[in-house]
Amino acid sequence: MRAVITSRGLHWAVGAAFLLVGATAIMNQTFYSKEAIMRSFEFSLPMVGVDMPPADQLFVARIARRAGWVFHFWAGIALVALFFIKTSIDARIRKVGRWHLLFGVLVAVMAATGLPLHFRSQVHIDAEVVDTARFVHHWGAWAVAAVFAGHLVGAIRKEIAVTKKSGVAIVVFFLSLGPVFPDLHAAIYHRVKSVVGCAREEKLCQKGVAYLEGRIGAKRIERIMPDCPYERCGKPKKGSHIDLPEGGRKYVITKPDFRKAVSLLLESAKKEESVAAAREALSYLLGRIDYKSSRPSEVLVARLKKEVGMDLEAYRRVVGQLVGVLVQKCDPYGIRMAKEFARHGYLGLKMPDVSGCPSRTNPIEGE
Amino acid sequence: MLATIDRRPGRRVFAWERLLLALEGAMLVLIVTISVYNRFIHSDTALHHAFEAAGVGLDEAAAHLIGSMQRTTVWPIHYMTSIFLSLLWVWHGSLFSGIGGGFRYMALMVAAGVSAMAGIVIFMVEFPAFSWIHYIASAVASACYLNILATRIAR
Repeated sequence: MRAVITSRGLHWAVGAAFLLVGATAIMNQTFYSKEAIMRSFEFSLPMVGVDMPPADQLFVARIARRAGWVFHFWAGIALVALFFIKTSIDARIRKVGRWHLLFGVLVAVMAATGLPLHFRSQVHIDAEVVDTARFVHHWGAWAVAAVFAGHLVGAIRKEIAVTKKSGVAIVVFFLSLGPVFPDLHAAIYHRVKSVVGCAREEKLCQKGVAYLEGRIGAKRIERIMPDCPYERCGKPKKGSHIDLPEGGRKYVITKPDFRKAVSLLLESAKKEESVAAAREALSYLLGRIDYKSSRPSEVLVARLKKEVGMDLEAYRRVVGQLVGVLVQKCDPYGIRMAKEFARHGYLGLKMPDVSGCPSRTNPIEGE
Repeated sequence: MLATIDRRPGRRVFAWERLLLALEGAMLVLIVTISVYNRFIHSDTALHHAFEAAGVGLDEAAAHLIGSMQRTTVWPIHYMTSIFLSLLWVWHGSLFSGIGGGFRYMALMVAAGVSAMAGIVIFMVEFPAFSWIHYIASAVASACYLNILATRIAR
């Protein structure tokens, strides 16, 4: 009898741990996903005058989300531990059912694949292992959710003896919740400062920089925040540089036409042979993607595609061309980037030979 | 629905009530999770540290604005779910206190009613002074709920 009571208590403890694991996973993947956080930066960073390229924004988003994943991980460990304690007690008092076993196997797989995902920031784990673990963990989560939904339907049917049709209706209801979640892959915005000036005769370069800085061709976007939960929202700190029009409820930003800006700068680099345009475009593009990663982030690649109209292949090609233009002009920035790319094999690009440039413009020479 | 409830004390669990408790539990988990995320995991302070790690220093007001913008889509879900749960608790409490459920159902009904009204005032009229009333009433209602849940699942 005591074992039965313990088993029942553990059943609900497993349920609580399961809810915690599910809730943290849903929160981390929806409202606080990398995309959602970066989308909020689209509006908030320009308001506080922070100029940050998307690759850095992604870094901040990752740091900010770490605590959420720590909760998820330990809730998962608690779930596994509680489930296996319950199973060992159940095995003594009754025959363990096949659904119970299936859930156990799935939970074990989730734990095994969760370990490399959690510890990859502390110990070196091969990217392939992490990718495989992520793939299995992702689909395993859906399988666990399906088993849980089946368990729920079974329990409801047992409780109130609903008809088969009602059971189907309940499953349809749960499935219908899917579209409630917002599109997580919407594009985000960022702003880049001009680093060099164009010559007076480089009209395309000047126009490209103007587009990049949003001085021309920029879209004005307004966003209302009607539900700000703090008193302070309407009363910014005295002396703060934050400008909150209309009592702090309405945010206005300008979104530059990056596509047009990059195309003008590229045209300038080719036709006007503008070093300034090539530097501006290269500096802008390098801030868009985490090019030092062996596999650039899909979030950033998707955002690049949406905002600049380039896929990764086109990005590689254009970066290669821009470095080529700069090296041809013996530009120090171009030479430095060419050497860095050649040394580390970033983006798998073949870099031009820089030995023809004088050492004065060749900053890494002799290192 | 009430036809499925066996009103004889101690003879059978209220099957429909268990479903109601499960629904309320799921809503409570959602509400608490959002609160914990917004107030701790994705608080202004946490955001401040994340930006510092990236080498960007933010003052308090800037961190608050960035944080508020991040949380702006999540709070309405918390508010609406809270208000809906409170109303559900009022209904639940009134239904079962009417058929001999006892004091805890009465307390659930009253506390949830106060919590819902305070929540609506905070959300619609933006009157933050009601926050404490909302918090205390919510805590009382949650305690009643957990008490009922404990007895219902330990049958």
